[in-house]
Amino acid sequence: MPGPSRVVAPLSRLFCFFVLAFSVPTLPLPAFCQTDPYLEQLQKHAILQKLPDERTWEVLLHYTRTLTGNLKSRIDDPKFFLARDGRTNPQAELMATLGEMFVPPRKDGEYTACRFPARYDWLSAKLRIDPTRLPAYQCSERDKSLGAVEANSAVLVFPVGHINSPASMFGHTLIRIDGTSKSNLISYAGNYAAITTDTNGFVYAWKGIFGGYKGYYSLMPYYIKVKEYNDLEHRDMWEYRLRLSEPEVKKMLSHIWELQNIKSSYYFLDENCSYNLLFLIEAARPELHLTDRTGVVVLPTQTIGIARESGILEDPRYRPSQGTRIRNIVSLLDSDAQQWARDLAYGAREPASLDQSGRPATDKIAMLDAAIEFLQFRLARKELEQDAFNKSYLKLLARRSALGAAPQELYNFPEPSRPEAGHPTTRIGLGGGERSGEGYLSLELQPELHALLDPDQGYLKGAQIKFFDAALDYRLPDHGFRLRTLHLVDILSLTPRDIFFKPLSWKVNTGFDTEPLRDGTDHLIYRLNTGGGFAVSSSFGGIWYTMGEVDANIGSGLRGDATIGPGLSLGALEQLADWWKLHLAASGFWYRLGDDRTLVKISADQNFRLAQNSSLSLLFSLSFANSHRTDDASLRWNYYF
Amino acid sequence: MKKVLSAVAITLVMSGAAYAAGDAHRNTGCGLGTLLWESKADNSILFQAFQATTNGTSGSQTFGISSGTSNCQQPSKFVSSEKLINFVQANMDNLAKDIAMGKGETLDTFAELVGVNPADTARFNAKLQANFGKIFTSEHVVLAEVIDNALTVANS
Repeated sequence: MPGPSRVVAPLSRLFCFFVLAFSVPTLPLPAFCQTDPYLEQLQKHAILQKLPDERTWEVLLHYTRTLTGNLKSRIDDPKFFLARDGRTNPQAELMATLGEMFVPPRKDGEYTACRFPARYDWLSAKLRIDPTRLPAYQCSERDKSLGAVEANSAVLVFPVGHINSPASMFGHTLIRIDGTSKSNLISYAGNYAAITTDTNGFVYAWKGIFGGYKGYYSLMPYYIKVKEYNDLEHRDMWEYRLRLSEPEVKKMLSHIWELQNIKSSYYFLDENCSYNLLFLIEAARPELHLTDRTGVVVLPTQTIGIARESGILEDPRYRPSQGTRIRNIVSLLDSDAQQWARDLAYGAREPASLDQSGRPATDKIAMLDAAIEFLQFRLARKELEQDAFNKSYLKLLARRSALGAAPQELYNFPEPSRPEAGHPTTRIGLGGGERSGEGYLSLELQPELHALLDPDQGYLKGAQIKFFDAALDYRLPDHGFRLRTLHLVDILSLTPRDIFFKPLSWKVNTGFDTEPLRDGTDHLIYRLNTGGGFAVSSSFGGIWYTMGEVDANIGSGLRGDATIGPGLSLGALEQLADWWKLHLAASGFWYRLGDDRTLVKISADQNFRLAQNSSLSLLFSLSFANSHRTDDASLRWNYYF
Repeated sequence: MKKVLSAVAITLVMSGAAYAAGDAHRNTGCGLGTLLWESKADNSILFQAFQATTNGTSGSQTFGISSGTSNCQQPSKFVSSEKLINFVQANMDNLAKDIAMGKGETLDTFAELVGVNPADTARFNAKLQANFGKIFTSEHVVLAEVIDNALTVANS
């Protein structure tokens, strides 16, 4: 039998059911199969109307086509199916569902309509089922819960990525279901996520990619999610209202209810939060066909794109994270006032000291507001005990309450560019250049997601996440090909430090590169390079950084076929105009173990944004391997799709 | 405004102080500084970089439509809305912050849940802000006291 917790139907009924579903109608049925004639009639009509092939049925059972072209549900929990082969047989599942409708419930909440209200409602409507000919039932728990949610309208929510955490660097999506109340915090959030107890990001990523976790849908008050993303993880959120009618949203909610405690394998790259959330939107309006528009990898921003193309997204509302709020408030203060605010948050100064500060009221408000938010951050980071927090927090709040509300214009901060303003996530680059006097043409492909030089609109500033990016050159003098780069992964996180936040910047990349070796000639090597360091905001609004690095190479051109060496890098990333980005960088590496090479490289790269899906890159670099010079200049046109 | 709030708090004769000596053990997690994610925040700067985020399923309960507040002392019976009590319990820090700052989404939600007429919210907010110390009387203040105190202040 399927899962242990499944309500097992009497065997005879199951058997009858299979006979009914698959037998030739003219054959006599076994005597104990005294099936309700109304059920027989409904089942016949369902087949005649081809209900098992309808999109709604596919959506409600999460059926998708496999590589061999058969339908199979993405959900592998037997509890979700009423027919034994329901996962792969839509018709059997539909027949079983109709059959279950005729089973009188033994107690409140046991009936099909209580457990699978969306299926029940759809079949009832399609077949115009007469409820008086079905058993009487009660669904008190379902009615109470769904009634509490109300479900008038729905919102697609996108908490942006958190570059410092590989597990969430792409962001996330969830659904908010709004009722009649004006406040959204007390709305409910429908979410799909993996249940995990691993706190190590690498274990998480590994298991996540290969389906090692089980995913569950959940429904809980939205304020819990807001606190989690906005306050704890410091991720800005974008809220897109969906153009769905109230009956459609109610269907969505009914379907979420059906998914309660149903597990399915979670795959980080495709069957992830964002992919599975599309089923909820489709449950509201099946003809949208969202889940079959996705590619091999499904990123949250892509699901927003898919939903946007289908015309159901309104413009988003922006919800800045606590980190953004603190940075915004702090930006209003000079450095003395910033230090003062930090001292307040650390208890180095008493709130009453502000009276002697001689500062205008707006400064005091901003100083206290920054300190109050930061103290919350310190508690979340467990830098202080709850008792100590409570004391300091109340003292700051009491002082703050005496200053009245902040003037409306004090906190008018501009919104960052919207996620949908960003370039699409795959880039192809065509160009050419000259490397040490030899001309070449180049073809580049960056399947996912965003390089440091790509236009920042819609992405996190200072973050680079690339998977499987490759560059192939065609050398003009000898008509030969050269694999310049093939990186499996290339991540760079530059997070500026300020008086409040002291994050580390870091990088990790691995893959093939063509590099000048100790005699100055180009060779293909395999590398693993990682580093960590500091970044600060420059006075021009950009990011300046420095990192200590380690670089390990393997390649036949090296003296000992393998080498590892330390290095140091410096860089400045400046947005000179909305459409113009400049990256200046210098690095030095010393390979003595396994090689005799000192590699110094300086570069000046620029990117000119032409449109949302195209840009032009102009790249210069000069490197010295020992005393051998290599220069490279190239121009590349980038197209994003 | 008195009229507005009267629906939920007609006779708030019992002030928060009457409850202050209530069962202390019952009120764990009903006050300020209560973290919802004990295991998620990490102070280590290195592990911060490699920390997993579950994108949201840290609790065991996946369907928290009516999460209980049974471990907290309940406010006076006139404000028996489960939604209000749940909300204030989970958002007490942010509610205190918004009251001190005189505005904010948490305060707006609180006002809505206790039935303040939208036209009166500015006055409601200002009144609560001006009487912050009467609502958050000490660092040991708990849910029931905060709700009762806030309504007492608003109705004064």
